[in-house]
Amino acid sequence: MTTLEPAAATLDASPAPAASYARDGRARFAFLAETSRALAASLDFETTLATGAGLALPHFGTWCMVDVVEADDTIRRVAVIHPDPGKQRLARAFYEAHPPGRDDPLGAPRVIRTHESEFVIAYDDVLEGITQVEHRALLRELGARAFLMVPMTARGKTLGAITFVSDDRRQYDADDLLLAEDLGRRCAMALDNARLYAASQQALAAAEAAREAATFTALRAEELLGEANLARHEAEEANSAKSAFLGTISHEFRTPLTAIQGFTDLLADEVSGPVTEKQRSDLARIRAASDHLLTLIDEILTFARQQAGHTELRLREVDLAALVRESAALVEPLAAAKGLRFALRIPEGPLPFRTEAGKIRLILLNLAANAVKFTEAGEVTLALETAGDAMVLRVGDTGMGIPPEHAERVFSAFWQVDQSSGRLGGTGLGLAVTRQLATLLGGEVTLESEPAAGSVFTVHLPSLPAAAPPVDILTTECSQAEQRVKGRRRAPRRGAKAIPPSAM
Amino acid sequence: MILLVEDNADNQEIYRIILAHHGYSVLQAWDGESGVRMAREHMPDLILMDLTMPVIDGLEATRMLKADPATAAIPIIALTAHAMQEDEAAAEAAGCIAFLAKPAEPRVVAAEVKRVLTLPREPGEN
Repeated sequence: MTTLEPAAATLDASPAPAASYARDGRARFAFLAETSRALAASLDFETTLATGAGLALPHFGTWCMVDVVEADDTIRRVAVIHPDPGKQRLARAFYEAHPPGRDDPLGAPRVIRTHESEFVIAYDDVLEGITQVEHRALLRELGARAFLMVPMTARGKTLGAITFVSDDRRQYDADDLLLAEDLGRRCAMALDNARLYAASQQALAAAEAAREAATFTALRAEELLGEANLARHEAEEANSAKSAFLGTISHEFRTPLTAIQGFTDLLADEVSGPVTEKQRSDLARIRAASDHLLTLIDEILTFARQQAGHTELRLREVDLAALVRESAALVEPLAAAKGLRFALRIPEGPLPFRTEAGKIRLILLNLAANAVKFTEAGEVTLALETAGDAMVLRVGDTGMGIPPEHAERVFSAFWQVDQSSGRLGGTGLGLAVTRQLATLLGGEVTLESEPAAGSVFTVHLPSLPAAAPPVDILTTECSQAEQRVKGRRRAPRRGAKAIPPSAM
Repeated sequence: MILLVEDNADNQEIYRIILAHHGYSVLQAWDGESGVRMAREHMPDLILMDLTMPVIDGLEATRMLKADPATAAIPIIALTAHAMQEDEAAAEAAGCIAFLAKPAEPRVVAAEVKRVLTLPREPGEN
């Protein structure tokens, strides 16, 4: 039971007898107005009720009690007001230990159940009806000769009850009852308002908390987004710088290589004078080594350009079967040179497919040259199959194979199965580039391999929608290795061997 | 007579040697500006034009020669180490008749020169 002091204070300020309030219209109006003002002034409903009920003392009784129905339907005695502080303490202690039960047959609980006011003259037999001995003793101690109990009703609901108790057997008339009921309604309204206010405050607080949380979340999200953008920007800059660097390096490497190859060719072609067989063979080795170096540089450049996102897709309808045959023709001599069988499996007739020829060719050359490189005996196969709208390219070998734990890593840049072995050479970019190219074409590259049994690389290529208009230029941007292959194919009197980009 | 416009000394030497070996007389220019000047002065049968050069690059030099009625008919073969698609397209747009990616083998350069020189001239060209 909280604040009862305001009630006590008001009590002292209201000396007029209840009877006079009840009968005198003006006094009655003043009483209710005062009560309403007091009720409105307080938002703590227990204070409110104590104030309201307290104002009515001693008009309706010697002492009073206020009960409210809680949200869980239990009844709580929120105020016990008695002019004698000792008795008030006694009563409060008792009711705290023995709160009224919802189903109690008598008193406030019954008024709450029935929503009807009750007026009881407490003859001895009435008090005898109270079964609890201590309660009976308490009531006798406090003085209980007459009870006036009114419900507190607001918006059609009984929110509680006020019990006025007189220590004499006084009578109440109809006006008293009306006034008491009016008081009950006002208390109920105040209680209802206080509860609504509390609920709205709670909702407001929840909304405010939610708003704050949302603001915080939004701010945090903005912050994170900023950080992510910054990180991405930095990563892009770093990546772009790396790509620019690799591009520059590649270009710078090519310039002296051009001179090495050019003068080697002039010597080998005897433009600069006759050469011996031994010299010719040495020149061929210089040429082969510089070709290899050039291939590595090309791969780095291609990879750098792809990493920098410079690669765009230019689709047109090509005969995929012819494209695979062309690539096979470049790889077959390499296989033959190592004593490997070379099998080409493609469906009969042309296979029109919308893709980019240059990228397909590079994928095939990468995979097939790889297969030849890692196979010492047996067979390299190049197969093309249709799968509905899609195309499947398979490059198989009977080579050293790739352990399953490395099956994904072979596609990483700068990775080779045996990192310690420089024997096989290569940049370690071939498969990374191959996968990038396949991804660009909307497809994917997968690997099935068993150590010592061989590997099969499978390229799935979906049919791509005709998004970009066809371009006149046959092959689009492609690696310089491919340009050279192309150049040689076009050029008369070539006699030059194909240089497949070495992979891995 | 072939005009070789190239700023790299090694390449100049390689292409000069192979072209001379195949019986062509070779004029040498070391940048785009002198290339244009020498083309106007000597009216070569063909120009081998490096695209990346100081002063005036090969593309600009080609455009200048193609814009000049006196030199417009001289076939120009582009030579570049930037062997990307957009370079080839740019060379074509500037008016080059052929495109060689560096490092082009000397005999390939000679063969391409021969091929272009034996092409039938377009009507209206002199």
